[in-house]
Amino acid sequence: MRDKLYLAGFLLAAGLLLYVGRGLLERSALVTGVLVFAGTTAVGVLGLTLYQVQNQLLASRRELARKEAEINFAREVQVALFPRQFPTDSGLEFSAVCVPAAGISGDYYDVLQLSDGRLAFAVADVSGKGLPAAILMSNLHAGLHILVEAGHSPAELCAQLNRHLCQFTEAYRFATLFYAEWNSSERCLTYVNAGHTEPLLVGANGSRRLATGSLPIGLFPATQFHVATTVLAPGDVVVVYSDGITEAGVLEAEPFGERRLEAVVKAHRHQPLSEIEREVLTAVENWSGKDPGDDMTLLLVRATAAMGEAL
Amino acid sequence: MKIEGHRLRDLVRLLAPLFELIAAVWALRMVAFAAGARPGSVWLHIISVTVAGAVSILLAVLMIHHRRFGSYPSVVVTVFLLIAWEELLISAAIAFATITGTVNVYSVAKYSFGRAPWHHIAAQLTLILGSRTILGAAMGCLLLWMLRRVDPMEGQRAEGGKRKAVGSRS
Repeated sequence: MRDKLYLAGFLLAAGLLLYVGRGLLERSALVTGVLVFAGTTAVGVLGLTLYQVQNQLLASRRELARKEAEINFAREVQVALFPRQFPTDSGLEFSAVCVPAAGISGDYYDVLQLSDGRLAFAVADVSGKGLPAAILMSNLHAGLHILVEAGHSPAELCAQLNRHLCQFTEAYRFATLFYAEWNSSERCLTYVNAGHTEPLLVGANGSRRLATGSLPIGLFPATQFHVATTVLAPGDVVVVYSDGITEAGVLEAEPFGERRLEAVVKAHRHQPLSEIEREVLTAVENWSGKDPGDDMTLLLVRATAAMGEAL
Repeated sequence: MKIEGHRLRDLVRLLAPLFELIAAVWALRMVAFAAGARPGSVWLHIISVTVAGAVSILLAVLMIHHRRFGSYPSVVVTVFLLIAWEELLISAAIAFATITGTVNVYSVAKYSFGRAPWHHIAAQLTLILGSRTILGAAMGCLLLWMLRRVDPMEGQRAEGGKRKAVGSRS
């Protein structure tokens, strides 16, 4: 209160002095003062505005650096979720790659050698991109590992994953999943395709798609998942991929498409899987440009000859 | 006398460099005149006590904000002290010229509008002091307000910094 009185007192005194001294000097003396104070105020306001802009710029840079550090950390965590090495004595050989569009990926691939001798592999594509998709992807990874170890059949495994996602994610979040189990003694692949792009099977007798499908997981709790089987001959190559591969370049002109993918795989079918993988990525890059518009995942699986069996 | 918890003596101590700045410009202006610079010349436009006073107010607002030396009442008192010091120096120079019968930059007819020296001193200590205090207070308060928005100190920050709760239950 006393401070306010001082404030009012000083301003009143200034007003009083102004009143008492009116007419003592020409108005131009006042104009000079007004111009000087207005000019200084303008300089001060300009300086403060520049300071504010600089502060905002610095804050943006810090925020950007923090987010980049977070994404780098998330990328490290995510890299650890992908298999470090593939099983070698199961009758299948593997090669896989995941190229994220936004630093971290919502795509997922996995190859699981289970304690009971079963071998499973999966490719999933979570809706969206970046951090939200990556968080859901890690959730999917954990769920899949737990359910596979529990010994569920492919259909039951997908049903449980579906219920889990429906329960714990928003309605617009879902994932497509291709899950397969390999029986090496019968050379039989049992799979469920939950809304995923149809994998390509390239063999000596041509190529076909593993077309049996169901809805993606995480959309409807009561979705039924259809199981299909196929026998793999030695040398057959199964190409499981995310839509980032076939839809590459869709924004610029025509998408890369399944036909081109099939042509590349067919042309290099007898080469090592890592070579086929390289050829596919090069073809996609040449088609669409350097930066992927969507996460790209490619899992190549080749049936090898059993012991004593010739190709 | 205490303003916003600070003694007037402490405020004067805080403003001491600015009093010195105004005094230095005041002296320099007289030296420039003695050296041959005439009223209306570029040098006397640049070496101006009025400009020094305005710049001092700007610097005082920055000091008050960054040293947390009060708020708007402190700015108004500061402005009054700085302008009063400026006008006292000018009045002293006019009085000295009148008493000694000499001429200095503050007693020349261009700045006194041809009025008698004592009339000029009265004008400096009433009209000019009053008007510039009001102008300076408006300028200082505006700058302090802006400064608080641009660079809020602890305790002045908005509530925007509160973190969002994740997964809270009730």
